[in-house]
Amino acid sequence: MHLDIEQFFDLAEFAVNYALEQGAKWAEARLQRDYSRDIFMRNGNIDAIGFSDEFGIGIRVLVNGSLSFASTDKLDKETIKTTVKQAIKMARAFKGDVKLSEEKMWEDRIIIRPKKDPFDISEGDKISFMKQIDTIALDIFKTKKMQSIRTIGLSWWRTEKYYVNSDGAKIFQVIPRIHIFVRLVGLHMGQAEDISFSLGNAAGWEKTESKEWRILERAQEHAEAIIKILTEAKKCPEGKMDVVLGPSVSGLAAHEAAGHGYEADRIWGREGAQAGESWIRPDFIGKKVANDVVTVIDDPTLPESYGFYLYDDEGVKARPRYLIKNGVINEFLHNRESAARFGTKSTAAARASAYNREPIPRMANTFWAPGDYTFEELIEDIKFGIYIKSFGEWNIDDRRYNSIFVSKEAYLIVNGELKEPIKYAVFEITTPALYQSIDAMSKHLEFEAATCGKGDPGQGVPVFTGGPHLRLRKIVIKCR
Amino acid sequence: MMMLKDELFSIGEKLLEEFKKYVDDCALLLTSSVKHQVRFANNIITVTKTWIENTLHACVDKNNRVAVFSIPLEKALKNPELAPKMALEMLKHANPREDYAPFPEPAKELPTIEHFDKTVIEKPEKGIELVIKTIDDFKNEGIKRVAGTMRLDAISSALLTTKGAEFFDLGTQVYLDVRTFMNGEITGAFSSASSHIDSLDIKSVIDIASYLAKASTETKSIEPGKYTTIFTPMAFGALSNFIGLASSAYAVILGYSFFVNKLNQKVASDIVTILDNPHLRRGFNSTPFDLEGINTNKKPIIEKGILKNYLHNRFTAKRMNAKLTGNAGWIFPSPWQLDILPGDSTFDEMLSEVKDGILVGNCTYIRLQNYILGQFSCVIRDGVFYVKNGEIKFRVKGLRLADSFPNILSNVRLLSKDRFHMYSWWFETDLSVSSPWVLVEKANFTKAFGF
Repeated sequence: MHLDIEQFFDLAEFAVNYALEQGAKWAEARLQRDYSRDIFMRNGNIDAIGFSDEFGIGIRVLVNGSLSFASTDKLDKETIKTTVKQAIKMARAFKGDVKLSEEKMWEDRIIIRPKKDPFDISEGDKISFMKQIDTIALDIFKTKKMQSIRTIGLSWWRTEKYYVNSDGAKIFQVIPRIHIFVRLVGLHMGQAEDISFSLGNAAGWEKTESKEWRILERAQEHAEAIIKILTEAKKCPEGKMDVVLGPSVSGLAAHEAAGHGYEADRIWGREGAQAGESWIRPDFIGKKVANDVVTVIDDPTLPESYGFYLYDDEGVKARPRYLIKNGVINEFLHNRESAARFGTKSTAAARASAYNREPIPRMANTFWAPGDYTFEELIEDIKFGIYIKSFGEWNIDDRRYNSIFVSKEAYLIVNGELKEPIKYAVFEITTPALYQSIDAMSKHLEFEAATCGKGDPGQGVPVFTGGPHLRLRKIVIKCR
Repeated sequence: MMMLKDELFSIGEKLLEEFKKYVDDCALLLTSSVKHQVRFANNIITVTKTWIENTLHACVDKNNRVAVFSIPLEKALKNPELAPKMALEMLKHANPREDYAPFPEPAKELPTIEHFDKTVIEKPEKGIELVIKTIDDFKNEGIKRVAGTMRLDAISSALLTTKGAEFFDLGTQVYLDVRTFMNGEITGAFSSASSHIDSLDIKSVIDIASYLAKASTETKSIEPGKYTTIFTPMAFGALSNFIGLASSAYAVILGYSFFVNKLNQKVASDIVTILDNPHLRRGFNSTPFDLEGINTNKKPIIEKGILKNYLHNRFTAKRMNAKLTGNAGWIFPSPWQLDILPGDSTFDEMLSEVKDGILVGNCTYIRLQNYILGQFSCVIRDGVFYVKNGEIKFRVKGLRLADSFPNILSNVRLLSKDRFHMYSWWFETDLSVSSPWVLVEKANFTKAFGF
């Protein structure tokens, strides 16, 4: 495979050398191309087809402790000189206090090839595939004479990155991705309900036909769930009860109430005005915060995962990060800047969403480690509780301490069995209370794809959410 | 570094000629920009950023099918036929849009809007000087830590359509967005936005963000429930971003709007008028033309409580049998800039009206449970106070605003005379807003288990 980007490798090296010549103490350059296409379908018709080719170079320099980033999409030596000079000029205009951790640097070339490259599949086949999903959902709504709005977005792209820095890193990575978003709205007697889901992998077209995606079944199940909410769901019970969360809800909780709080730049305060800070303090390493059964992993190396990478965007080799191990805070998500501030090593969490974004600590694929229960075993001793399979509204405060999830598809559990659907169960809880209420998880992991937002300007990076089913004991449930 | 009118038009005309060989109709937007950012946290500048970009964005029509794309301008110039050919290849498999409408005839005359500040191009380091001074000013106010962003962007844009539009705009956008900390939980925030550096209201940013951080350091819990609530301009600006989204006709079509079937109906209290105003003098996102080549215009979204307009592009207008509103968006029409008209109260008068209520400094993480009903909750922060008989008593912890947009809009009782033009990271649909302080009756709050 020959890629256009390879003819520009020398420009990245030129940028680093030129920055050093101009007085930078340290410099990096990341040549990045995100070549994407997408199709947007509404009610079975194509509203738009699109593509984009984001291709440019991002340069960071460190001058007397001041960190400065500059990027351009004009790839010639003169423009790169101008860009480097601009970065250095800005860095010299203030006094910063940035240091970078010492890390082992690598030279490597990682090219992930999809089994079936989506760029080789005709748009006609893609539209037929989307149409099948649309038709399945439409037919389900029609059986109940319900109007519906169905939107489906399919996108596929290839990220090509060549990273070099003045410490000797030279990493070339090519990662393909494919993603689908489905949102269904049912309309019934003046009421409306919607459920959406999102699947994605660092892989190719083969995923659309996979059992893992089982997309047609999912579309059918979600349409049926909307009908149940609109026609059968009862007011949810209120009070303290046992709760089982499905993988899409448990995954969100792992991402929001665990992952984000462990990003070291938040803990230090660098994101204070934007995404926020954290209730976790630097001295919380080793602190017991959850039951022994709770382990939270963030693993960028999971093959074909949506958040997959093998080297981060500072050239550090990726590995699984155990954020919470058997109930104890174990490590944080670090880039080289935060690691130096904390006197530790990077955990290879530096990610930049595009050539024109700076690399900052991010998650990849965050999940509660699985347990050894089946779903039936998880619910069998629950006398009265609820099972929350999917969520609608959710949010969490910027310290990652106080979160809310409101159910979409949810059911009563009575004497160990699933019963009737219930509507809008509200599960509003502090993070320590959440951690401490978990007493078991299923052995089966199920992932969904999400785009995690952080940074200023915003950086959406692909991540897996999902995980096992979780059982929580004696949680306060309210009704919206 | 930045390409200006003649250069962009020269390139644009060449590309348009090439594109015409392949497509029925198209609009090309060529942008050339130099943007700067200064970020700070813990009273120190953490990073500066500079972006130098020249990009081609295009919308092409073929046999009533539509494709949109963006590529680096340099790449388009090297191989001008590549992108339209690729669009055609993709489009041949799509069905024609049932709501297809051609690009409109271009505007005959564009509004003149003051929204360019040459200092942004000539002296971007001014942003660093302002940030250093602002940090010092906050320290002098007794604030322990500040974090935030200063942004200085210069953008030149040329729009060319096959219908004959050939428009150019040179604009700048600047904003200062600050969060103040007395500790991790005791915070304030405020922002200011403009096209001109010297029009930023930095004094209000310092005064209000300091006030919200210092007003009370005592923190207590209160019972969840319905309270008379004062929203700061920043808090209401964040909420109104979703009102802006809901006004897009495409959001209505997709079921992402609580304004479905509400046109010309009462959706807010009588004192609420919200305009889409792309002509604000020195406005952050003031702009003369839309992406289909017609002039933008000032119009009410809500006027005296009545929903007056959905905002359209050519497709939504065709589908709803409506007139164009100058809000295209090739796919998604949207407001340019929200302008919430003022009332006649002062903040002090508003506060004195609150017998048993809450002051909310900022609304973040707004998420909807049901878009059509407008049910949502959000995280409130940066100064959340319990107010008793017109006095701030203490800071409140653990509450969350959980209500619906129709309720909030219908229960607006007072608006301040003073308004503030702002843009913030938490404005989730990316709209700059001019907002007053707003008093809402019976806003609903919930509380988390564990507090």
